[in-house]
Amino acid sequence: MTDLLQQFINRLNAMTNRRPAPAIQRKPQAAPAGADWLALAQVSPERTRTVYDPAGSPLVLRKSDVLAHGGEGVIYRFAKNPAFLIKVCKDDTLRDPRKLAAFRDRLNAMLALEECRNAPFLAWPLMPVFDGKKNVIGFVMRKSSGRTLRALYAPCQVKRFFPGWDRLSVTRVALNLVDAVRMLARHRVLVNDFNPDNFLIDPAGRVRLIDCDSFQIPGAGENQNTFLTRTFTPEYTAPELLFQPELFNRERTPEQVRFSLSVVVYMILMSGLHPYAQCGGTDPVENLKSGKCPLARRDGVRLPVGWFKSVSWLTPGLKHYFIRMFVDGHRAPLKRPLLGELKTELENFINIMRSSKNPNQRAILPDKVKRKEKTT
Amino acid sequence: MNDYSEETALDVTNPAPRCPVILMLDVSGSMAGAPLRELKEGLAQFLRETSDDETASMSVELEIVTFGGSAEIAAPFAPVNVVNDNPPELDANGSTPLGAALKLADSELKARRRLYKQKGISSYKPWIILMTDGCPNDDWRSAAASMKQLGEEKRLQYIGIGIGDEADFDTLREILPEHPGPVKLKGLCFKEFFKWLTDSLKSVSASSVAQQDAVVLGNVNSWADLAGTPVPEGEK
Repeated sequence: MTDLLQQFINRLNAMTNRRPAPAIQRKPQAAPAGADWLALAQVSPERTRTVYDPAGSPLVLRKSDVLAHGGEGVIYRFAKNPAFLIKVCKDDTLRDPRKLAAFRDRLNAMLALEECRNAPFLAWPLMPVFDGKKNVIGFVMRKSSGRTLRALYAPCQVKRFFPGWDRLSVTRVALNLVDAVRMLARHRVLVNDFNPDNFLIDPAGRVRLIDCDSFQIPGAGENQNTFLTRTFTPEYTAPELLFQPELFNRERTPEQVRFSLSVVVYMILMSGLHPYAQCGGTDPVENLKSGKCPLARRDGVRLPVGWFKSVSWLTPGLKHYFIRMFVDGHRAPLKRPLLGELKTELENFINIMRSSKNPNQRAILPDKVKRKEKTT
Repeated sequence: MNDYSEETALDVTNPAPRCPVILMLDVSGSMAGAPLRELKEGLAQFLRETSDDETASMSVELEIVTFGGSAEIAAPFAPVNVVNDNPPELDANGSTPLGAALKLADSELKARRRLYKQKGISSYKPWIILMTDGCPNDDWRSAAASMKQLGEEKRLQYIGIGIGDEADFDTLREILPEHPGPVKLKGLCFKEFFKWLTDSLKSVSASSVAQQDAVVLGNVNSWADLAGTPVPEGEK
């Protein structure tokens, strides 16, 4: 049985080019041709299942209702009410008492946060669902729709997915996102993973936050520990976490969230350009770790060709905020400015765009560099 | 051939890493009728769904090489949504010049990757999808070597699909890297295959370049005829 399992894992690894599992060394055997395909025919078998709402009414979830697979659960569409989704624990979570207990404790803590439950911009758990023995095995949440934040991460994408949008429109999205993250922070809920796929934007510029399971949640009682998650996306992650991965075992800090959110806001305003992207730079994570931000205009680091025009139309206050965050705050978390300052600077930027008669002030891709204003 | 001249240049204001994909499609005379019709419908669905995904559409750059009578670039490298806006016409006729198609795909891939390098744009490993219902009638051995080597080194995701009972799996095995090797399409399940391809490219483009090898591709049961794929001589 162990041999069969090892063969299966190795074939799957061969297909995806991952390093094979380092266990069970035997005489080398060539996997028969077609074995890789056989392995892929066994990935994620779905099954129809029935769960029950708190009143005991059955909810049948068909294979065809599966919307997505998460780390610990499967997300189903809810055929009877398309405004909601149901997340049910995967079998391996259900079989592991420790994992299952952690899931239930965390769910209770989330259900206790009423303002989050009621926030229309969060895919927050609304009520538990049960198995036939009245054990909690999942939850119902609000369905969120829209384009992921990636739709704003290139000028051509903005044009295609949000025709007619300008820099004022995307700045409003950034402001809505800052407001959402600040509201969560007021409840000591921290967004851990700033993966752009976790934020949905609708045509009105409203932001929806999904994958709330990846958030850091405060314990429900006084003696209960904070619920941590290790989820992160490296190019949006505070450098101290990348340099000291053991910090992922501790609570994330507001300073780390401020850094990550500022990366996302910068990328929204700059149509996907990363704050550490630079001429000659390659991997965004390596650029981030280097701490060399072209906004500082030192160390010979320059913006990638063609982007200076976009930076020049940001307000001095916004540029100053980003320099304090990405240069001064790179290795000094306590120097990172507060989100309230970011909100103020975004509002100022919006006001300037509203009042300006120069089309470049509102352009996603300005065609001229903004001239410095004369001071007397 | 459609005019893509303004669209094939790289958009340097798109900061996403690119995933070059070449579809090598057999449009020889034997594909006429239902196979070509299903292929076209599957291809149209692939173009539509991949273009509609904000992640994949930023990364996937598609080229379509056809071989039927002669090897041609039916759609040169361009963002997938550009190809979707102006899809190529596919007609079935002639023989199966797979060798010429392999040579063309190899040189196009090299040129595109050179362009990425010149412009400083990072990229995922390329995907080559080869679909054929017959056996080549030209010299394919020298043309196949370079991409096969890349596939063996896991620097290329090389997928070979045999269509129908006449597909020459022995030749496909020589053209393709050993893993994953060729697989037979279940009936004319082109749509199911292209759905799988869309999902795979969505997953890859949502990962970072460094993490692309950790992406586990989806279940292939809907389109792969594993039982019907001929077994190599040595494994019978």
